[in-house]
Amino acid sequence: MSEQSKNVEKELERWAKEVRRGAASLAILALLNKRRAYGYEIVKELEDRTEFLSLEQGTVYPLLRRMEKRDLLTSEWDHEDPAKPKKYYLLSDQGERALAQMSEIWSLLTDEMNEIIMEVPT
Amino acid sequence: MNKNPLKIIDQYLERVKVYLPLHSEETLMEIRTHLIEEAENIGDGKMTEGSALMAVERLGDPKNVANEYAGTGAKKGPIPKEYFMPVMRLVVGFVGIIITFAVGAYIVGIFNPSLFSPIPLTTLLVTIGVNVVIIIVIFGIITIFESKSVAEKTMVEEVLSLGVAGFKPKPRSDALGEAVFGVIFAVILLLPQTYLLYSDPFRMLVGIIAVLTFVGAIKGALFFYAGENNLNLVLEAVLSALSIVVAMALINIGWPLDYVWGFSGNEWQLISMAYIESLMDLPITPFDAIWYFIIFIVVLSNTWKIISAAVKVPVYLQEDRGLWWRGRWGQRKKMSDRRLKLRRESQEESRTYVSGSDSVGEN
Repeated sequence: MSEQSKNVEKELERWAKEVRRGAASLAILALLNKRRAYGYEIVKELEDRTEFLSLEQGTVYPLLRRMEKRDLLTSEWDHEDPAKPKKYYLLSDQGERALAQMSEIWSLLTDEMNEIIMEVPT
Repeated sequence: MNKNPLKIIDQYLERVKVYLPLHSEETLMEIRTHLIEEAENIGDGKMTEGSALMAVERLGDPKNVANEYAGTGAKKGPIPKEYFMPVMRLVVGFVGIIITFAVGAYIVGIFNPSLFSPIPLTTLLVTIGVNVVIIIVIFGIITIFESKSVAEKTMVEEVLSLGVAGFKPKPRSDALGEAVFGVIFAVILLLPQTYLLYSDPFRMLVGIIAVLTFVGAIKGALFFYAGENNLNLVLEAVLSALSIVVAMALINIGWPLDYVWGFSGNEWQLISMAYIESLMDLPITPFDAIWYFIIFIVVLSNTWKIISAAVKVPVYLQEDRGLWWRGRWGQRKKMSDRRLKLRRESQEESRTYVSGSDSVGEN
């Protein structure tokens, strides 16, 4: 692989990571808008439903924790199976409002980006 | 040899725990559930040694996993981010031990200078510095040649985890012991039969000691009921400070007993300590030395409790925990082989996992 291709690959990796990080928060909020879910369910749903967004497993939990700290999510423990206690995440009121605004911005962004990308020769 | 898959997961979590802040039990519980479900998923509903190994490998390097939780960024000061927490805990523990020993030695040394003569500060610092360099060199060499699986702690992690052990909450059994034996000891201290034995100076203090012991029993009961919380930690720190003050008086009065009870064959009678000493015919009196040692241990353990509370209470306050809540208890680590075997057997009865090719499902 040439030096130039390596650089392009590195840049792509960096850019993808940044996009993924922002999109993952929105995707998690959207998933939790339907129903409460625990960490592993969220990881699996992201893996099953998306290709680009299937994050490294270890990064989903810290993301959930950060969103909980920012009051976008609330959580409750379920100890029904003592061998596998589950921490369920729910959307807070603040999270619901954030989701609505983030979805709007995302739609606007995709529309605008599609328009710009259309001009790029492939 | 086949390994219990749960053991693989728990060993991996031990590694993650080294790099996480104190009180990250909920985080570890969440990761544990993830790993069990992932291993079961990989093994088509059954957890095997292979699927457990694959699950921990998928989650990634323990340092990175912990670092993601703690935040992002490559370095914190001169230390790599993932090592910051364990190193800080170790430093606090190390400094705490030095302060503990210094306080204990100082108090005992005031009253008995022949036991602890002051060491010049520069000598102390140089000795610590030289030892730290030697330790770093030894661990550096070991780390280079060390080859371990993802579930096993490295030598460096073994050392770093000492910082975690130093600040573990009180086990519930210890709290119960404090409550029960505190009451028994306070009552024995005040019994007329025991009171007869004391020296005159000790009689002046025995009431205070009994009250402290009794309040210590109440503190034990609070720990037993609610685990570790700010109120219990502050109460423990205050009691420890008072115990150190009393210890300073106690070391001054020397051995507290003038008599002991002895059975002559027909009846119980008081035997003078002076008489026992004359029978022993020793050049020095051993009882004062024993007394100094007991006081030294009392001061050491109480100083450590104060340091531990001083570290933990601000952490809990930062988490907006307030003063009182149902907190956690520590777990006794050492268990006899027999009890360990019994526990494993009972666990395996209720939940059996596949190990290698010998498939056994969940009961």
